[in-house]
Amino acid sequence: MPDQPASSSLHLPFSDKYDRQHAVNYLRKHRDGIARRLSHRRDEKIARKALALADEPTLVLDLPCGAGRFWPVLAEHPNRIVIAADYSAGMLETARTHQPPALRERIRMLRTSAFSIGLPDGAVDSVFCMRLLHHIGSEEHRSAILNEFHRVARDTVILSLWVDGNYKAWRRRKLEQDRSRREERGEQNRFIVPARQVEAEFRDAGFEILGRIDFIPLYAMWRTYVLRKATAGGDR
Amino acid sequence: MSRRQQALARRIVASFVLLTLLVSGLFSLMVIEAASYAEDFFSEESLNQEFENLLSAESAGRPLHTSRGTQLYVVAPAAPSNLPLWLAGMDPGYQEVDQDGVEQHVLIRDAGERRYVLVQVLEEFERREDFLMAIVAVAFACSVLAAWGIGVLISRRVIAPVTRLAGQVRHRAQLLPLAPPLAPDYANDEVGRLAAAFDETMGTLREALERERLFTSDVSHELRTPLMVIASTCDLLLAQGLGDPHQEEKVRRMLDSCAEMRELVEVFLQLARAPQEKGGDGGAVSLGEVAQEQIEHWRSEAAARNLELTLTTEAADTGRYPAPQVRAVISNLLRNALHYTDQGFVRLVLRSGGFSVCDSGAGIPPDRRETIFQPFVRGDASRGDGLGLGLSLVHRICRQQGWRIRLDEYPGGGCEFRVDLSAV
Ligand SMILES: C[S@@+](CC[C@H](N)C(=O)[O-])C[C@H]1O[C@@H](n2cnc3c(N)ncnc32)[C@H](O)[C@@H]1O
Repeated sequence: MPDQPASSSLHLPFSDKYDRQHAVNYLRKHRDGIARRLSHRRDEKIARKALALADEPTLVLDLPCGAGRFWPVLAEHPNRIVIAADYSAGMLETARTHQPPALRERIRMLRTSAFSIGLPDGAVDSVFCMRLLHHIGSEEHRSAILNEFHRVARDTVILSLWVDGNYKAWRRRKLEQDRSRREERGEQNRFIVPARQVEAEFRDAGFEILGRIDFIPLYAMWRTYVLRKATAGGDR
Repeated sequence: MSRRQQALARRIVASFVLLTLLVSGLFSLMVIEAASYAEDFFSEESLNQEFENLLSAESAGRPLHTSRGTQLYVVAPAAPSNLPLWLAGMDPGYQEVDQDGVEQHVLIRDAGERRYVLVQVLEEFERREDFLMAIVAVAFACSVLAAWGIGVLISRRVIAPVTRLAGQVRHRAQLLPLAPPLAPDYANDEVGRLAAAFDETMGTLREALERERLFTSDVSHELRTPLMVIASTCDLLLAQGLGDPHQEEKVRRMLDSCAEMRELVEVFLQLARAPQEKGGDGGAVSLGEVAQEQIEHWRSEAAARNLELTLTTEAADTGRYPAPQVRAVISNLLRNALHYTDQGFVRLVLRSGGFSVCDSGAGIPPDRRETIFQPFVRGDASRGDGLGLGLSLVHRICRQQGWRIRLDEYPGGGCEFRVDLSAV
């Protein structure tokens, strides 16, 4: 398995902000504070539900695994093996050292980019991709990632991103309009995608939608999708 | 959810509902029958009783009294009768008559000269009976509904593991070998056993594949050294000089074949090592060089078969490609074309970014074009000669290198094998 992500593949600037320090902070961030903890609890619940919808896949690629926030949930299924992958070596290192050793046995580490995953076709049952796609602003880049997921996943893909059609998204757009009137902000690195558009993109990439789970319906932007590779015309 | 699973589930639900329909339908019928039997029985009993009472009252000279809901008509031969018409023609005995939508129980008895007609309407009983019917109907509907519900539930329960297993089994061969086995996920029932059997088969398959891969790579690897020895020995012979140009020519041919074999071994080795990995340590060549060399190589064979073998360059190509792979592809395609062409020509056409091998042979019908690249499929079985692997090898090399190969009909009826080297 290649140690380095292929150099020829796409590279976006946001991927580089996750150095070691950031990684530790990230992990801490999700452990501190009641609101954070509640939100993490909700994230875990959604993950559980999504995995059930995906028929409890047993070989899961957790990409990006970040600090391994979802490992405890992923490992709840006793017969599951997780390939934990991230672009950032710092993140992987943090994950490796901060997670209970009991979990690590069922988890393999892989440093790779979501744009070019260092695994063969159909290598895993499911790609589990939390909190990555909201960093991807352009449709072209999203499609590159989705195609890569379609290639590597044998059956399903679980992913979360920001969609419109809720209060937060509406607020954000309003704030952005105000802000852009006042000053040109530095380039943003998180994006909202219209739900209809992203669902069309899923279908174009060869997926059917098994389920949608909202973090808080009509309020929050986070939505988790469970996708399955469409069978009709999906295979040769 | 697959359509097949839905069909299975639907069949389970249907059989549940049908069975219940049958059983509870039968029960309802029985209840209804029993009720009406009880009614008749009760009514006949009470009418008979009443008649006896009447007779004894009459003989005792008491006035004739009937109970509530019962009417008495006494028909004497001479006297005018007030008997309603619908009762007039009836025979003696007990009967149940539906009159004006009301169930009437009639007992007719002859005693002496007179005929006694007792008519009873069991209003209370009827009301209760109606109530009973309503209950039976509701119970019937409820049980069918419940059967449907339970059927849906059970079918989900029973089908879910089957569906999941079916989903897990699809394309499983591609999954990384570190994937956990299937069986521990299932209860130790039929599905669990199926999963275990599948795990076992999968294991055997993986082993076999691995063995085959190792075999190919071992063989290729082990052949390298003896081939090297042959080559260097031939070199040595030539360097020393044999004094006879004829002999030297033969040694040179041996040397050529030896080089070809080494290249093939390289190709096999690479295919076996990394079926997905592009590559070529065999040095980069241009298309033109290999084409020229291959035409030379096959010229005598073409001449022997009376075929015209030509090289056409439509457009020059500037790319460099791994030598063993390009050579193996062109060589195999040319050999294939020469073998399946009886008269006419074989052409190697170079384009920018690819080439074609065309012939004036019999061609391959469209429906067989897909399968022609599978191992051991031959164009015309009657031709013999174990060439079956040739096109499959070509296909595998192309796939490994990310080249595209297509089989078209060449104008005039022959084949055109078209290879695009630039396709990624
Ligand atoms: C917001 S974190 C999400 C981590 C985790 N899934 C979670 O929800 O806690 C984003 C992660 O994406 C990783 N990342 C950024 N660019 C990537 C790329 N091109 N391929 C794979 N991972 C990438 C970062 O290293 C970081 O760990």
